[in-house]
Amino acid sequence: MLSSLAPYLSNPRQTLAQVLNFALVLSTAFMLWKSLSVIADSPSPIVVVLSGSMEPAFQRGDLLFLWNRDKTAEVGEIVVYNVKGKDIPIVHRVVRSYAPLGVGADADASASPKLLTKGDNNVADDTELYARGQSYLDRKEDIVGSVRGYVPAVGYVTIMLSEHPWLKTVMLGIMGLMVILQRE
Amino acid sequence: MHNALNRLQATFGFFTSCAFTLALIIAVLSLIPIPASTSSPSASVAVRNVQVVKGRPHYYSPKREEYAQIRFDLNADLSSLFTWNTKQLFVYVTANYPNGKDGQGDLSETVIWDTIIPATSTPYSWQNLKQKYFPEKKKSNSKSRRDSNAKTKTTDLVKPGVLSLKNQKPKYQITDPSGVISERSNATLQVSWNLQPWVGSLVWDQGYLGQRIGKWNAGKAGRSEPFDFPPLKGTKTDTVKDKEGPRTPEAGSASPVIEI
Repeated sequence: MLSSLAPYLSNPRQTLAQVLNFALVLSTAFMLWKSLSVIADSPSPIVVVLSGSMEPAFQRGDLLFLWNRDKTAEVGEIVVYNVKGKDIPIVHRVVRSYAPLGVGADADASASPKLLTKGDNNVADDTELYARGQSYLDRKEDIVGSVRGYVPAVGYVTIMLSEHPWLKTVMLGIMGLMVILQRE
Repeated sequence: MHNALNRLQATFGFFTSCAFTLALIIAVLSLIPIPASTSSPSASVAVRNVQVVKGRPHYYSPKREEYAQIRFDLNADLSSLFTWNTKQLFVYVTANYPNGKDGQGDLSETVIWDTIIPATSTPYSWQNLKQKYFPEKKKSNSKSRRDSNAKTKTTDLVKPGVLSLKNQKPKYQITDPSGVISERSNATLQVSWNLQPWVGSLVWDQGYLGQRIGKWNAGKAGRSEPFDFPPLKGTKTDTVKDKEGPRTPEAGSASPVIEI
């Protein structure tokens, strides 16, 4: 086993350079993702659509770019929100926005509009999808971001990877092997 | 150094960078008005009839709320929004009313009607290309297929994005979290749209890049005259929004591309 490693060990400088190269590739990807996350102010600035309740606008596997720097969500905007107790975010359109009660002086400054969402392809609104006892969303608490950009079909890779976890291992292995085995 | 694997990798890498560059070029080009649009979108909406009745959200609900049903007329010409990078147009009518009883306060907005207008097929759209280069082998089906093709051809002649509705019933009956919607004043109806591209950024009638396609014709901003919600009609709770009790909608789930 060690004999197969001999050529690498005989030239440790080059081997180290390749390992460094691999680390560089990984950290560049990580930095790009994180800086995008900072720019959009969202923990996950790019999401993949997993189901068809927004068809024909978004199909399964489409890539959505999110923006989270707005204080409010307007009616008609497509938002991605998290429901308490469920870990999969949902992407639907805002159909109602109720202003907080109270006018002028007695208006609560911290109160934000109550939002109701609905999928374009659904008949009913999302009240049934929310957490028990919750009938409206809050911009700050529940919403992860609002959809601004769209790329079709590219995200299907992610769906494949999450549905067949062994693919992830295989791909990582191949990537690592490629970078390390490539001389020069 | 030039083994098959290397070449495959290089080809795939080149393909992905080409595809992404092309998508980027399309996304940027579609923001520039070329070819220049001949007209700007226009719409007018007017209230026909407003009724407020008591009801409950679904059959088994103990909640009693007031529901408003607003009938309206809508005339819109949004055909200039259909450019070469338009996948669909989502048009929606909202009822906006101040939350204060005296017609003051922040606006609440609720959608009362919406529609999706998909872009019509062109000789280069996916279905037609597939039909041209990979025609279905089945003979028995060919006749009906040709019929449906003929049908789509006739619809092609219709310009998408022209809406004309008379005394349209709303899709959604609206209510308020307080349960009371009657006798509110200074409400308006408004037409808005959301443009979905094949690839690129989404455009709304107000907001981002709004100046490019978003501009309404001056004086033709799709907004109705102010109206008041009438007092409650009848005291019986005979209206039920959903006949069959609560329905669970499909969750449109999405997942982060990378989870760290």
